[in-house]
Amino acid sequence: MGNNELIQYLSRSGNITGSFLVSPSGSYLAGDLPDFLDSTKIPAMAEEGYNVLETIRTKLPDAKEIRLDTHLLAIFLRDLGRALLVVLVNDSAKANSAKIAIDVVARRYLPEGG
Amino acid sequence: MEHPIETRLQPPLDLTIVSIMKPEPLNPDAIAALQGVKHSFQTDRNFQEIHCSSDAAAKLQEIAPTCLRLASKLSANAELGILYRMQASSDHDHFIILALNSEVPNAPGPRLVGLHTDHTTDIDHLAVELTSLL
Repeated sequence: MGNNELIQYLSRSGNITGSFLVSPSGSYLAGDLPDFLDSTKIPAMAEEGYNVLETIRTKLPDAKEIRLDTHLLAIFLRDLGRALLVVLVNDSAKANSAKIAIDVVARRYLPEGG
Repeated sequence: MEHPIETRLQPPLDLTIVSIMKPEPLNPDAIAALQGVKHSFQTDRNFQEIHCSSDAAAKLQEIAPTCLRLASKLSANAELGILYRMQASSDHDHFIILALNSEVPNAPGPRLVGLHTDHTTDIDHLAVELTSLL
């Protein structure tokens, strides 16, 4: 599954407010961004996302996903190896169904499993 | 420079009100009895330890401040709202930090609860059960 296909799949899966892919170096690869998200902030988001993941991996070496809950959104950051997938869900109650969609695309993105 | 962690709890994890009413730490035995929980810790708002269930929990407690600060910075930079829960997942584990008692300055009792659980644990359900202990 290519970058754009992945994002399109997520966009169609419902419950998802927006999603995007960034490379480990912070380059924007593909995305379907919500209006409220300033795209210029994506590199900083990606850097912070990787920083959180790397910090956690000092204690949980095989950690692959972070979920952050704010009063606005549930934010999923999934390490796909070649990219970091960031998915925004605007209703925490729907986050579990969004998680299923993320698992599906991660498996397709990484043949050996997400 | 360290920035304070701002937290605000909203449904479905509105843990704030009851924790203000009961300032003492959560009962560690009751936390341990929750399904899927392997290790747990509790800290105050300054990340000072209130309770730690094991050496493994202590290791996770060590990284909790850094994780929360980074995650809070991430959400703030993107203007995505105030962080109240962070969860990291692997194929085997969940590591969860919940922020408590955030609405009232200097409120007593735990400010953070960290849980290390089996990966099959339903975190939302666990959070509701945790609420019942407050």
